[in-house]
Amino acid sequence: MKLALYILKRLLLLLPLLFGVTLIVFVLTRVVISGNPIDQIVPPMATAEMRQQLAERYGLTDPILVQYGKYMRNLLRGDMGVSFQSGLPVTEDLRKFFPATFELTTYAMLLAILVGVPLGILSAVKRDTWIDHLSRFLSVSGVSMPVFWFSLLLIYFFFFLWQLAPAPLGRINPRLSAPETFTGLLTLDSLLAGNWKALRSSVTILILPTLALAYGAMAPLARMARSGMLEALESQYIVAARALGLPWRSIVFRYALKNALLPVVTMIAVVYGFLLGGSVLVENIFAWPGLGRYAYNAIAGSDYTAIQGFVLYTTTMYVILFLLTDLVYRFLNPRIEI
Amino acid sequence: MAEPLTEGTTPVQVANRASGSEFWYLLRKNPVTLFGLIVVALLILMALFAPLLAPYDPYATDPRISLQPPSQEHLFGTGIWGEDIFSRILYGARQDLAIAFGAVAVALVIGCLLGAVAGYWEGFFGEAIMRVVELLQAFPAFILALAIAGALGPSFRNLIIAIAFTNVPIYAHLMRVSILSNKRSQYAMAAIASGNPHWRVLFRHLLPNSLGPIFIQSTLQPGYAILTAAGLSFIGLGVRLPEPEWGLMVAMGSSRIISGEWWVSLFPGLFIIIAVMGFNLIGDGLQDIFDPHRN
Repeated sequence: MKLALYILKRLLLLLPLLFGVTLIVFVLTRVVISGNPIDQIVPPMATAEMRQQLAERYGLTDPILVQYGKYMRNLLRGDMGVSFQSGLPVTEDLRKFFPATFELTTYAMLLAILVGVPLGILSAVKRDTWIDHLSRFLSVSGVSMPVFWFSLLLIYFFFFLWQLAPAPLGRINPRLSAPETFTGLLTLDSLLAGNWKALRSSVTILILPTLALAYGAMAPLARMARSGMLEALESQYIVAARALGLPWRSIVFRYALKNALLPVVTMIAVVYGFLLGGSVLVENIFAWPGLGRYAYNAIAGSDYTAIQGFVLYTTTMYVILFLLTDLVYRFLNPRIEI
Repeated sequence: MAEPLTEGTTPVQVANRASGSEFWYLLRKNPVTLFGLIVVALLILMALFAPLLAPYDPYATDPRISLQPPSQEHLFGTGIWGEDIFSRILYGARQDLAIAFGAVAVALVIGCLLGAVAGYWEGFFGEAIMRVVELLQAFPAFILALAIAGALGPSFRNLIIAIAFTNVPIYAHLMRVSILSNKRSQYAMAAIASGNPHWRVLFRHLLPNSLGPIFIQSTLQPGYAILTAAGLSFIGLGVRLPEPEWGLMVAMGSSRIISGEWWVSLFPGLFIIIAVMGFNLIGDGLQDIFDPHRN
C-alpha cells in the first residue's frame, strides 16, 4: 500500500517534468528556431500570398501563446503534427520506426550488461591484476571512442576486409521476405514464425551495430560494478564474514555481490539515454530503419515537426525508464524508506 | 550553530592543502594523470602552432591526388578532393579544442552562477532554479544538444551554445552543494556579521572557496564536449565544410570505408580518441588525488 502510494506520487511528479520538457521543445522549435519553417513546405516559386495562406493554415501567424495552446491540445490527443518529409503524421512515423530502434538498443543494452557487469565485478575482486587493467583499458577506450568512428572501423574490418559480416544495409537481407509481424522485432518474429533463414540473416546483420553501441555503453556499467564491489568488499559485514572464516567464494557471491549490483541498476537508465543518442549516429551508418535514422533524415531535410516528435518521444521514454529503474532500486534496497 | 571546521572535510580544503610542491609530488605519484596532462598540453601546442607544423594548406584541394593512401608526401593520405588529411587534422585541433573549452567555459559561468544563487537563497527562488536545471537533465544529453543545435542551425557558435547547455546542470549542482556547505562555515558567518551585503558574501567570500570541485570537474568536461561536438558535426549539425573539424572529417570518409579507403576516417577519429582520453585521464586522476576519502 505504501509502495502503491509512493508510485502514484512519483507518477504525479512526472507530469510537471513532462510538461516542462514539452515547453522547452516548443520554445526551441517555434521561438528560437532559425529560418521560417514555411520555407520547408512551400515550393520555391511560391508567391507571397501563397506563403501567407500556408502560414495561416499551419497556425504560424497566431500569437505565440495561442500556438502553444494549440500545440499542447494536439499533443494531449497524441497528435504531433505532420512530417513535412513523409507527409504522414509524426506519431505514425514514430510508431513505424520504433521497433527497429528498440530491437537494436535492447540487444546493445543486454550485451553491455552481460559483459560490463561481470568485468567490473571481476576487476574489483582481482584488484590490480591483469584483468583489472584490461577492464580499465576497455572502460577508458569505451568512453573515449566516438561511436560513429567505431562503427566505421567495424564495417571496414568485418565487412570490407574479412567479409565476415553482411553489408551494413538495414535489418535483414533484402532478398529474403521478412517474417510476419508480431512484435516488430525481426529476430523474435522470425523465431516465432520458425523462419530460420530470416532469423539467421537478421541476427548476423544485427551483430555489428549492436557491438558498436554496446562498447560505449559497457564502460559506465563496468565502472559502476567495480566501485560498487570494492565498496561492498570493504564494508563491515564482509570483514565480519571473513573473521567468521566463511569461504571467500561465498563471501563474494552470496554477500558482497547483491550490494554491489544495486547501484548498477540506477545506471541502466543513464546508459539507455546514451544508447538513444548513439542510435542517431549508428543507425545512420548501418542504414538501420529506426528512430535514429528517422531523426537524421529529419535533420538533413530541416523537418522540424519530425525532429520535435523524435526529441519528445525519446525524452519521454528516457524519463519513464528513469522512474522505473529508480522504483526497482528502491524495491531491491530495503534500507531506503519509501 | 556554526560547527567548527574539521580538517579535510571538503575537497576544497584538501585541494588547498595539496597546493604547490605537494601537488607536484602527488602528480608524480600518479603517472596516469601526468600522462593525460602531457597529451592535452601537446594537443594545445599542436593547435597553436598548426600553421608552422602543417605541410600543406588545409583548405587546398587537388582532384589529381584525391584519395591517396598515406605516403611520405601525405603522412595520413589525402581526402576526396585531394586535401591533405594531416594538415587538416592539425588545424582541426583548433576547432575541436576551441569548441570544447568554449562550451565548458560558458557552461561553467552560467552553471556556477545559477548554482551559487540557488545555494545561497534556498527556498522558492533556489528551488525554482534547480527545477529548471533538472528539466535540462530530463533529456538524454546528446539528444538535447541535437535539439538545440537543430533549432539554432549548424554553425560554430551554435555548436558551443548547444554543448554548453548540456554541461550547465553538473556545474549548477556542484556549486549549489558547495555553497550550501560553505555558507554555514564560520568565515561566512563572520563576513555577514561584519556587515557585508549578501551578494558580496556570496561572490567575494563563498564563491572563490567553492571552486575546488568545479575545477576538478572542468578537467573531465572538455572530453565529453569534444565527443558531442564531433557527433553533431558528423550528422551535419555542427561545424560545416570546408572547416577542418575531426568529427566532420570522419563523416567525409564514411562513404569511403566500404570501398576500402580507411585513412580518410581513421586518422581524425584517432585524434578524437587521444583528446578525449587525455582529458579523461586528467579528470580521473585529479578526482583520485583530491578524494577526501583517500588520504
